[in-house]
Amino acid sequence: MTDKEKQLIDHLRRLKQVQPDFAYLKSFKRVLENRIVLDVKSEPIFFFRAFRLAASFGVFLLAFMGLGFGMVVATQNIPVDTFLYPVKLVGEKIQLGVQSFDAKSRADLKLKFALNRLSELKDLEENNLNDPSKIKALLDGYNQELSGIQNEVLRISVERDGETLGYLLEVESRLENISGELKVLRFDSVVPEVYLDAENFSSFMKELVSRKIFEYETKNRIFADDGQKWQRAMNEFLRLRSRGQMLAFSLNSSLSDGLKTTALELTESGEPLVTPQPENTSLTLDNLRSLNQELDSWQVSFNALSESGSDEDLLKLFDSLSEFEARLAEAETLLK
Amino acid sequence: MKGEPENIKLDQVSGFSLVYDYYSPLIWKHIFLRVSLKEEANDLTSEVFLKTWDYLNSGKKIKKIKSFLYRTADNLIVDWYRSKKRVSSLEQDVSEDENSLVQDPLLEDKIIVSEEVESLMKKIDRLQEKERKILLLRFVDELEIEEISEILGKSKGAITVAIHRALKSLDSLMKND
Repeated sequence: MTDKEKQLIDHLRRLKQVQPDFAYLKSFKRVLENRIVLDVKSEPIFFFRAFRLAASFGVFLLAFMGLGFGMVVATQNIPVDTFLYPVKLVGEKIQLGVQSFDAKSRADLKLKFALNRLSELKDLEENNLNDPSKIKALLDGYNQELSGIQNEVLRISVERDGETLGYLLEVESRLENISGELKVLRFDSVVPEVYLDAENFSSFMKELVSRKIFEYETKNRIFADDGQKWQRAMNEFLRLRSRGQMLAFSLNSSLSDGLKTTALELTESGEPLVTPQPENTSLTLDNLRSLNQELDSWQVSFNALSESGSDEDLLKLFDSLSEFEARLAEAETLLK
Repeated sequence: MKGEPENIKLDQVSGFSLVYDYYSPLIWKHIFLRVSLKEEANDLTSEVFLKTWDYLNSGKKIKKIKSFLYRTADNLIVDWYRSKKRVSSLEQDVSEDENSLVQDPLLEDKIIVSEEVESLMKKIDRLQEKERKILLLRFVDELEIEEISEILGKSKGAITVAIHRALKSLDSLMKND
C-alpha cells in the first residue's frame, strides 16, 4: 500500500466520528421488542410446541419399538474421533427435547452436555489427537452449551420459592467444577491459546449466576448458607465500581470530543453556530462524582462490618448497592 | 471485531436485542454515510432490523448475522436510490429547479458533525455509489475483504480491485479540490 493510499484511508476513517441518532435507535428498540414479544407469543410458539409434542411422541413411540431410549443411551458412549460422533450430538438434542420441561431442567442437561464436551476434549488430548481445529470445534460446542445455560439462568425468576436458591447454588458449584476441569485441560494442552475464549466465557457465566443469587437474596431478604454472602456483596460492589469508572471515562471522552464539534446551523452572518454541550453530560458527571464518593463510603462500612456484622447490616449494604445500581443505570440512560 | 455478540439465540427477545444494541449504531452510521439524510437513516435502519426479524420469525436460519444485516441494508439503500431517482425524474417534469437528487442534507437535517467530517462527506458523495459503498464497508465499517465479498456477492479478488479503483477515484477528487 502506498503512502498516498494510507493517507486517504486515514481520512476515510475520520468518518467514524459521525454519531448515530441514539435517541431514535433507543425508541425504536422498544417498538422492535414489542413486535418480537407479540410474534413469539403467537403462532410460532404454538407450532413449536405442537412440533415438540409430536417429536416427543415420535421418540417415545420409537422407544417402545425397541429403538428409542436404547439408541439415545447408546449414543452417549460414541467416541469423539469416530464418524458416528454427530449421532451422539443428535442424541443429546433428542434428550433435550424429551427430558426438559422448564428452565431448570434445560440448564441441568446443558451443564451435563458442556461436561461431555470437556470429557471429549480430554480424550482427544490424551490420545494425541490434538488437532487445533478439532479442539476448537469442541470448545465451540462447549461455549454453545454455556450460552444455552445463560439463557435459562436469565429466565429463572427470583420470586421466593423453596427451590430456586438451592438450584442456583448447585448451578454455581457445577460451573465452578466445569471451569476447574477446563483450566486443567488448558494447562496440559499443546494449544492452550485455543482455550482462552471458553475460559473467559466460563468466568462470565459464574459471575452471571453469582449475580442472580445476589438478586434473589436482596429481593427476598434471605441469604444462602454457602458462606459467600459477604463476598457476593463485595463482587457486586466491584462490578458497580468498574461500571461507574467506564461511564466516567466515556463521559470525559464525549466532553472532550464535543469541544471539537459544531452544529451545522448557520448564524445570520453565515458563520457556523457552535452548539453548547448538552446539560445532561455535565449533570451526569456530577452524579457520577457523588456516586463514586458514596461507593467509597460503602467500602469503608463494608470493611468495618465484614468481620462481625449481622445479617441486618449486610441487608442494608445490599440495599445501598441496589440503589447505586439504579442510579448508575439512570446515568447510563442519560448518556445514551 | 472485538466485542461482537457471539453464541446468541437470535430467535429470542434477549438475543435479538443484544444484536440490535451492538449493530444498530453501526448500521445506522453506514446507512447515513450512504444516503446523507438523518430521517432516511432512521427509517432504513428500522427496516433492516424488522426485515431481519421477519426472516428469522419465518423459521429461516442466519449463519452470519453481521453479513446478513449489512447485505439487507445494502439492498434497502439500492431500492431507496431507485425510488428516489423515479421521484426525482417526475419532479423534473414539474419544476426544473427541483431536479437535484442530493440537496444539502446535512443542513436540512442539522446533523452534528465536525467541519472536517462534513467536507469529507461531501467529497465521498461525489464518488460513484458503488465506490462509496465499498470504501465505507472496508475503511469505516472495518469489514474484512471476505465479509464484503459475502455481502456484495462478489469474489475476494474483485473486491480488492474495486477498493483499489475507488481509492484512486477518491484521490483524483481530492487533487481536483
